[in-house]
Amino acid sequence: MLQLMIFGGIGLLAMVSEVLGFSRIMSLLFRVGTLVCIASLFINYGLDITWFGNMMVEDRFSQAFILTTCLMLATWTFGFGRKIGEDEFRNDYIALFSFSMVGGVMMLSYTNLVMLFLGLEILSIPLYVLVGSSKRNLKSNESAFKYFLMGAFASGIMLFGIAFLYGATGTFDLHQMSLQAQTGGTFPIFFHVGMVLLIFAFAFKMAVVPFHFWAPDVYEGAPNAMTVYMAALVKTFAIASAFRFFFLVFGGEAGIYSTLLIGMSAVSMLLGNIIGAVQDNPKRLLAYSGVGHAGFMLMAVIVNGQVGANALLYYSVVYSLSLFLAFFVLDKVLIHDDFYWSIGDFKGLAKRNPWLAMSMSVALLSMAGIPPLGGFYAKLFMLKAAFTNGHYVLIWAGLIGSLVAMYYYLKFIINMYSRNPDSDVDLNLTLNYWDKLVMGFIGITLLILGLFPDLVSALIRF
Amino acid sequence: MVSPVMENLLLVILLFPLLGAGLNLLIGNKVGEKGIGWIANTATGFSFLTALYVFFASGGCQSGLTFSMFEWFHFGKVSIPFSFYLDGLSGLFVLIITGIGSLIHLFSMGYMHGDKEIKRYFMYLNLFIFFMLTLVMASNYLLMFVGWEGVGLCSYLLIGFWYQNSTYSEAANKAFIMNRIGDLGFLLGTMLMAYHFGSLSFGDVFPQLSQFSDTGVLTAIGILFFIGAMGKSAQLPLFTWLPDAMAGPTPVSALIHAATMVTAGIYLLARTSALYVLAPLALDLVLYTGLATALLAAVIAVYQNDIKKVLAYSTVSQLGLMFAAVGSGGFGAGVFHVLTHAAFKALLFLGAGSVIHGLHGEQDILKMGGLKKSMPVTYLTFLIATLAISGIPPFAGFFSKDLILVTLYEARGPLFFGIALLISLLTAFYMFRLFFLTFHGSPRNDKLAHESPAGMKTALIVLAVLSVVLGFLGLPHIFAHPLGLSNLLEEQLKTAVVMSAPHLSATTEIVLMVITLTAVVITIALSKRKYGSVQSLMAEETRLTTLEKWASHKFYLDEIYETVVTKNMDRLARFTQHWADELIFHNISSLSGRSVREVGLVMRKIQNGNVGSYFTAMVLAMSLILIYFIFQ
Repeated sequence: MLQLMIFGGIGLLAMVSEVLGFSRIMSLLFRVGTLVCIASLFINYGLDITWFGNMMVEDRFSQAFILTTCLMLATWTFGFGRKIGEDEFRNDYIALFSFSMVGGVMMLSYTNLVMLFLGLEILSIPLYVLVGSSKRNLKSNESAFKYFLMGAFASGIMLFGIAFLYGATGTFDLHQMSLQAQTGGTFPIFFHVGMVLLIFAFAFKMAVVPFHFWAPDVYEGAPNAMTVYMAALVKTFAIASAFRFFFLVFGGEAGIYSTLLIGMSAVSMLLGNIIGAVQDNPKRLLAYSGVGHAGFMLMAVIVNGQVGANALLYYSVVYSLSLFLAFFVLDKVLIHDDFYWSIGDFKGLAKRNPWLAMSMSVALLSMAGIPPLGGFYAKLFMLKAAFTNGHYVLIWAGLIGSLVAMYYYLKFIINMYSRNPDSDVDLNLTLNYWDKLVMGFIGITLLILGLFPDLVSALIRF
Repeated sequence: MVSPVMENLLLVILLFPLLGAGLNLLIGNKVGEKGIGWIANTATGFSFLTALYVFFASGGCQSGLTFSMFEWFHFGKVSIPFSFYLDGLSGLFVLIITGIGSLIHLFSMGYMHGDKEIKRYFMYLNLFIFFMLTLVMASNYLLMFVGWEGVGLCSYLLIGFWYQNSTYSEAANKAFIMNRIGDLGFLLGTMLMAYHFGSLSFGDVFPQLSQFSDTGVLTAIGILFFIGAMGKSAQLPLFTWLPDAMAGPTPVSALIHAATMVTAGIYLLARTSALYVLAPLALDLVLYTGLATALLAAVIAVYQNDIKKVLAYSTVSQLGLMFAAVGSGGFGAGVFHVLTHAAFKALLFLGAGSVIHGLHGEQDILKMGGLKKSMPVTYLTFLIATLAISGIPPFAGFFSKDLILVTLYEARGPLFFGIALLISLLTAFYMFRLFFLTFHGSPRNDKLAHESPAGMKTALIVLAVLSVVLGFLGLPHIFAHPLGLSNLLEEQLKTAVVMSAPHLSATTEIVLMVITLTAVVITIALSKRKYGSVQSLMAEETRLTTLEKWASHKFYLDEIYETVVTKNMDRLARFTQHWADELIFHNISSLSGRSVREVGLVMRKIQNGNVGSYFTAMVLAMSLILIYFIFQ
């Protein structure tokens, strides 16, 4: 659990850095720490190591996901870290991000429900603060408060569910639970109640229907850097931990709960995208599209096993990168601070700055699943996995959802390329070399992932 | 034993041109015209040197070098590796591509001097070399297809290089579309192969062939691949793009539309020779198509007056001959002709380029004449190339064409030999017509001709030397045996391609050779009598017979395609636009779009921003699901 210690250590250092007078190098330290984390993974790569009295296990699954999420975090710091670095409270943010990463790492490697709950809380509490980090902004405050209220509700549900599970099985340990499940013991009814409640709590963090209500409001109000962190990384943590639960307890399948999960996945893909189609605010639109993508990723939990893990890993990387790119552009385009953003702000972007228009198109086309970008294989792997397991409902829902999503992704592209900019906007939207570098890097990575999909999806071999 | 270092060099050969293109993209604007040219030249030059080293150090790549990078992707049972492969056949092609490519890069520096877009030109040219190398070095058909499409793209970009001229960009479009038709054939063949053999790698597919009993499938794959070759190598019915492709800069015509890209079809067929020998029906189609194309294009070439058009039809005709050789089982003969043709046809095109350059853009041979004195180097090298293509010993074309004729005679008998001989005679006739009209007689225009700069001359001279010596690589047995030499080309290709050396008796072979030679010499004499000393501007020949009139209009093929294909396609498109698109699909899609919108608008009402109502909705959903689970 080197990664846990590194992120925890950076968090603590960041808290005292102001007092001890090394606050200037803190953001550098954070970046270096992330890279050290990535490097440290290779020390034990491919080995199973247990920690904390068998409450957490570092295995192939957790290593692969920690690796990709740390890589995503590194990309995120290079893309959005600058803006945060200029803030007067930057060290507080660094501490909060580090702590939330600690929570994330725990959620990726738990084998004990206590650790899952701890991880979820450590992940969530810094997020409540980060969402409200633009303190004088009413919208930001509103979304922080909403997120906190509903998050607390979800934590309660999870704890309630864990309590039921403990009551039914007499253990918090997933291996013990799995043994009981395999020996054919019939579980009392409140085991199912516990399971369903746990699924609800996971669903809340993933933002799938009907627990998605917080997402648009929170995404809209939070500063862009926090929104994208939540939408990309936190979503990955939540879905991967749900995957891990079913993988460890039911041995690579979703069992009788697949009906419920299929329902949530299918409805998310349909409803998320359909509501997205009538949105005009780009951030809310991407929130709803995120609901659709969460539905897609939930397929991996249902299919489970080797195929599901590979598909989920690839999907999460591609989706995170596409989202980074989209929000990076969003951050440059929606510069008026009044929260009345609309797709109209993208009018004629190609004329104002072709780099931004191109990057946005790449990001959106990747999310839409157009080859040769990564999003194509992401969706293909998921659908293929669902197909081989005979979940045809998911395939139809996924296809129809993607079709509807195409509509609003193209709306952006039409606005950017075939409309003229409004007369009152600044025609020269300038970018520095760093911005171009970040956008070029992410865009090319998406292309490379689309050309060579096995680079990522082959990281997990059970 | 081949060392692994050598295999890594495969990547080096491939990456140099790509590096050149990338470097020019990044710093091309800063280094000026000379710098751009040198970057591109160095890239191809190094690629050539590396290829030479690899070729000779590994003994002609006989044992086959493989450089595997990684598994590209897999789907079902089919796994596609991203790896490159060099054997006797592809080794030869790599040398042709990088060697001729280097010379043409050198020539281009003089030819394109002063063009504002020279950076774009050299980037495309380097990119072309990269894709062409990918095509021949791929270890499987899918990677080959990547190169195949890549060269198509570069060819399109370079034909339309002067895109401000709308005729030129139309020519580019035409080339691209016709190639797409062929590409579809290639792609379908690839799919069929993947379906039946579970692999697309040469190393996996060919060994399976001996156990494969379904000749129908093999024939289908063979014909589909040949359709691909028809597009790329300009065979009937897809050849009309090549003459129009002369819109591009002349060095491009030399490199892409004469020496390398258009021979990709021959490469594909030779590479797949193991399959073709099991599919005789497909080979018959190749033979007939090749001969028909060769004859038709040769007849048309006699009546063309644009120097590049004559050469273009001549290329089509020579490619037809190569396919005829391949179609009668002489894969080696086809490849041999690719090799010699690459040298002398590139030389002819560069010579034509030199003439056009010297005459400031004049392309009509009726308005040339008398260039012998003002352009001595061009004159001499052009003469060598003309002799080579006409098949006069000891120039390169003689040996390869002789091999094709002998192969045809042996495999198909005197009739086919006679047709091929007729094609050779026509070739000699129109080539010398071109030669005499251009260089002999008296000048028929008022432009002051000048010889080309040193760089261009160097390229011409090297190619002229190649046009003389390359033929000896494939010395016929009747000459080789008495001298104690061997047929180097046969040795080179025997491991990679199915070879069938002619087994005719020496007497028959010599008789055939003598017949051919005598006929060719008589033809040249005829041509000399008619065009040898034209003094004044020739009037357009008015008293044309019907056949001649047809030929000068390329048998109205373009018009026929226009009426039969394009017009009907337009009609179909308009029909579907009106009935299917506007009436049916438009309404369906707008209806479904509207319904999605309605649903969205309704659902959005729940999202009213009030946390209380969110909780209500969530708790309601939770209760329903829980009740379902408890009472199910």
